[in-house]
Amino acid sequence: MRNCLSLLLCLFCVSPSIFAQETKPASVKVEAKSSEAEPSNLYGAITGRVISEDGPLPFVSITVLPVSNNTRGRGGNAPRNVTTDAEGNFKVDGLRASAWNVIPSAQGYVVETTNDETTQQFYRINESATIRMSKGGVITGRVLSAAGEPLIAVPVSVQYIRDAQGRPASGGTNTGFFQTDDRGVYRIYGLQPGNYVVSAGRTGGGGPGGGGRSPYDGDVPTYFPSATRDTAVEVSVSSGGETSGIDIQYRGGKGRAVSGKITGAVTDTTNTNRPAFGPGGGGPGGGGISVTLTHAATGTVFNRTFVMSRSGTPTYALYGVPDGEYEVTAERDTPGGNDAVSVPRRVVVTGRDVTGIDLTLMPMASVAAKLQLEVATTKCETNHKATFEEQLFVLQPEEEKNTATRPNLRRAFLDNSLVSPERTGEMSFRNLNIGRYYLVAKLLDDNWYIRSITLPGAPFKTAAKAGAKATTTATTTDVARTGLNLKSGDKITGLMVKVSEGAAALKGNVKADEPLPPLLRVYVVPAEKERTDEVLRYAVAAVATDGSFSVGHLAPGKYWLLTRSEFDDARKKIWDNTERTKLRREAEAANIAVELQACQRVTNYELRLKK
Amino acid sequence: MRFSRNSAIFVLLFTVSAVNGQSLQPTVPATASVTGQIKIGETPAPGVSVALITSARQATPVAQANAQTRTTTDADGRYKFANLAAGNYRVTVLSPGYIVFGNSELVRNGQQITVKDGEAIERIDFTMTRGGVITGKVTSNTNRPIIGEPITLTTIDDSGKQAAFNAPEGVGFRTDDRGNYRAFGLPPGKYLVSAGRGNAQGGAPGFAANRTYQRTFHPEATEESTAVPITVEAGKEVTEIDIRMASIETYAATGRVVEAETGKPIAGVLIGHNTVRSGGRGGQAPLPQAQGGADGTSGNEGEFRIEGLARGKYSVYVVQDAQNPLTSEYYSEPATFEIATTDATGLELRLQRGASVNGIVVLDGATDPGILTNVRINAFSRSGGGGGGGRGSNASAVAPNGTFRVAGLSPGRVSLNVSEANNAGPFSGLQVLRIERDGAEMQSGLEVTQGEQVSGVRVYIAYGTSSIRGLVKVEGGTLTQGMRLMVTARRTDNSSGGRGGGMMPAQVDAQGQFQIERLVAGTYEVTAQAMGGGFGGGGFGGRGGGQQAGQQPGQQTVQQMRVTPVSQTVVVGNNATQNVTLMLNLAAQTPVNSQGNQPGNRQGGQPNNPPRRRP
Repeated sequence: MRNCLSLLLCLFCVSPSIFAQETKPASVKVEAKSSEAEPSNLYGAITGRVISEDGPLPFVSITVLPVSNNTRGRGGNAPRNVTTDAEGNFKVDGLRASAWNVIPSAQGYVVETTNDETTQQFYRINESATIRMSKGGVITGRVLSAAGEPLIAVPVSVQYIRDAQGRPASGGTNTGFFQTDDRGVYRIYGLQPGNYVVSAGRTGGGGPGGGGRSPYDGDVPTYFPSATRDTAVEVSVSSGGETSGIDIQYRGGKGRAVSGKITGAVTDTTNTNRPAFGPGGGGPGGGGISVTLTHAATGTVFNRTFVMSRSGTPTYALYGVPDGEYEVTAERDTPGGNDAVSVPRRVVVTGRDVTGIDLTLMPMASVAAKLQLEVATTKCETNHKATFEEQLFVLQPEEEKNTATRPNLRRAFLDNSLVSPERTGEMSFRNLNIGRYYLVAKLLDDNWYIRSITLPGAPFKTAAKAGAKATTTATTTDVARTGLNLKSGDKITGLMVKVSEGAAALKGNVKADEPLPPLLRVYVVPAEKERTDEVLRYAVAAVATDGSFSVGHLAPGKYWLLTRSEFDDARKKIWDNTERTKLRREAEAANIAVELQACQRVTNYELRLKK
Repeated sequence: MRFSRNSAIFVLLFTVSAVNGQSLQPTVPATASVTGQIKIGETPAPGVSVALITSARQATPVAQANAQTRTTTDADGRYKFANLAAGNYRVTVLSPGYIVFGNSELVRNGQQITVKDGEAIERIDFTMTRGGVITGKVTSNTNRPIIGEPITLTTIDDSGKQAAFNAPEGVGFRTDDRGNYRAFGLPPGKYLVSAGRGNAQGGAPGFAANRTYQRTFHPEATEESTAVPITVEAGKEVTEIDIRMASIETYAATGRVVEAETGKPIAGVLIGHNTVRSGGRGGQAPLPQAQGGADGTSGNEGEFRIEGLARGKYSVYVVQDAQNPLTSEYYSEPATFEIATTDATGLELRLQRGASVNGIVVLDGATDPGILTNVRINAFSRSGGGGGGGRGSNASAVAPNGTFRVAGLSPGRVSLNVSEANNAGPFSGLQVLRIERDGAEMQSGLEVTQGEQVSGVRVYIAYGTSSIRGLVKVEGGTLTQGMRLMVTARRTDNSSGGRGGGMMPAQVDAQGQFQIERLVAGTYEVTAQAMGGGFGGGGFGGRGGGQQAGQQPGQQTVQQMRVTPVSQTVVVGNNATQNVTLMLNLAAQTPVNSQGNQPGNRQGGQPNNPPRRRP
């Protein structure tokens, strides 16, 4: 299990931000459904409907799978697949009480992600999902030789570069396999609106000898119009629209090799009861070392190789690398223990093989935490009794390598780094890189909010004064504010997360005399002076294109609302002291105040945009 | 220098062979050559890619997809391969979209030639013509375009014999967002065009593309006998070959869960089902516990209902769930049924009180008692009588003091093995050394009677410190870009290791070398096999086994082949390393009768949309 390495092919990821308090996009409705004669609340069903602008979508493949990495494999937790009926409805029964992801798949259709914060919607059992899909966009054109002849059966793929509002997205190759036909024409469909780079020839391919029978085997990709990745021209696609004439003049070429040695924590020495792990032992999942080459600017994985070495220092070689700028990272997979990872090394390839890119493996860190529910003074009305197993947590790195690889919930889900507490409240986070981390929650119960995230510190004694006894004071660190600073091999224990019942929620619309600016956000800032530094009381929500927004899990109290048009990392605005002070000052000046009671649900708030 | 112009090719051949573990050391200097010319009609064709493939005994994709030499025709359409050793070769023109003729005969998989020492073979000429094209649109019976649907072509020869049409590798035909498809590069002849799968039998659970539609032939025939064949001519296009799809009829299965002794209905237990392979034992179905997938829970009258079942054979069972005391103490035999044209009703699942095994786990050389909390005991009980087969396993955590309890076992033989909680793969390195019951060693598992509560069991386990190292040599071809060699070791001398236990996989590096570590002394069966696909450059993501001829992405051909695995028995001593060499023949293939094996399966699989990511 891995965390925080930006080595994913993340499809249609909208540039992300994630906050201490989650937000729900206004476009997806969630209803808690109560079930009648429930013999036990261990199991339940998720129902729903898939609709599009043309009406309900039948025969959509729906995959339901557990979100957190630790709940999988238990009875009732296997991934399930159903198909919507003629009216677009579906029902998946026999699911265990935990957090579920519902993923629709319909050829040619996409679920549009329109907000900058993650719109990742997760569900509990006995809830209903309404999923909106729209027809994907199309990019079409031809692939031609240098002489202008159409090239046949050339693989063509796209990478998502930015969304319809211009936010950088982590580029990933789209689903499906596309190639040119006998006229050299290709047609890629089912695309999210936004900007793409289009390439002909295989990505991440190339190698000695080449295999198969395609004339393009082993070629490095050529990007539209006839360029390398770094000089590629972006192609724009609108929702359901068609962008044609994207002709690529093919170059091909075999690419170069990048190689080096691997040093450092090549074997797992942290578990003294186990014999040391050799670099080659075990096979997939059994402790091998892999080396991954990613495109530096976007984090797209270009190539990956496994390392085997029988004597001395392991070495690796990556082939078929086109000219460009990359990062190379090594990872050691250690089932049952902590993985090790190397600091990524930047490599620039310009027409020659590159050797000596040595990578040093360092053991990763882990954190053990416990969730506690504070005895509630207020109890909200609810249809669905909250359980620990239905809540989600992730440790997110503070550092953001580039906007395209900003951590978000969707990526955390794909990366398997979301964790659900056990019934006892215990949860553990493994395979954490070096750096500062913040605990981010995705609570699926609307009535809960996080009160504190603390780590007991070493108790310290004050010096005995004359005639008095020495006192020992227990210290706790407010991890919500300071984050966790992790070093290689750290094993942090005792992180305490307290939740409380009585959360309020605020839903409404931003109204203005002119069209709304793009990339709009609403910040919720605690108004009480003594709460300035209570990071957990700050929240932020994206404003949808129709002006709607929704913020939940708010502790009762007085707040100011502030709108801002920006796409920087919203997490930083809250975690960073200077930014938080700025936020507060602006919020105070704007003076849009609201007071929320325990369990209150405001649904029609109108937020006037001041000029 | 004589070699100067062609040394690049020679070096490439040599390097590639060395990398793939195959020695190609000629004892006589390699000076043979092969030349020819390629034309399109009467015009020489420049820039055409030509490949020279060594020693392919049969035109199978695995054998032919080895490390080839490639070259491109010059301005005059001519090509040359030089500095060749004597041997059998195949010259293949890589030209998707075109049909290739050599000596006026259609060349499908390259021209076979035999080269003698120093021989200069000339006039291996080819003529290319543009293949025929079939286009059309695929819609549902309500006129919705069917998007992304793979198109299957079947050729019909003059005698009426049918064969699956295999496009050259890398070419696949699918409908686009408007439902339109374009099949190109077709040799002249008669074809049947179809889309959609048959009944949803087999395939990875839940992740197969479009299982909603029956296989339908142009124009809207669900039987081949009523399909309209299409005649294709070289270079010509046949249009409007539309297909109107019919959906698959599905039915339901209903029944009750009752307590065997009293006949009382049992509510609130999870029910699951599996497809039973026809002709095979039901035991090939995945274990209910391992899957954990369920269709729903039994209602207040113990009733259950499973919908969406297409024609076929199924078995339905109660899913074991450690958290649910009702299922962890009981077991039930699965109920098998068949769906043809009606719902299956009246199924009964009888829960019987199971036996339990109580005992202690002793870890050899354990210094840290906390280690045991990670260990899991898995009990496999075989059902006494027939029906269903495929017994489940019950797992139990091990307390820090080593005690464990597995319950819900059916009477008969129980075998135990161990695994680690947070290690998703089958490879653990933890092995059962010995099982004792009341002091006596149980060589072949424990025998339990109906409902018996067995105690006094001691399970001795250890991390192995021995290893098997070796080499896999490859013959009958060499490995393609996307293929990977895999070696697994399985303990054969200790049945207390359990039926499902201990398949340890290891990767094989580019030199063919591998090592499997942390083994306990014993006798192992070491198996080498070739797995297709992979990350990055290669294929479309392997699904185990070799790749098939003209595998169109997303399409499932009728007969899947894979390279026949080879095995060898190895005896490993205590704290020792044993060496072994295995010889794998890529040209020898056997059919695969179920979905391919995925080594080191990970739990919580990902659906098609998100990219593959190791958990």
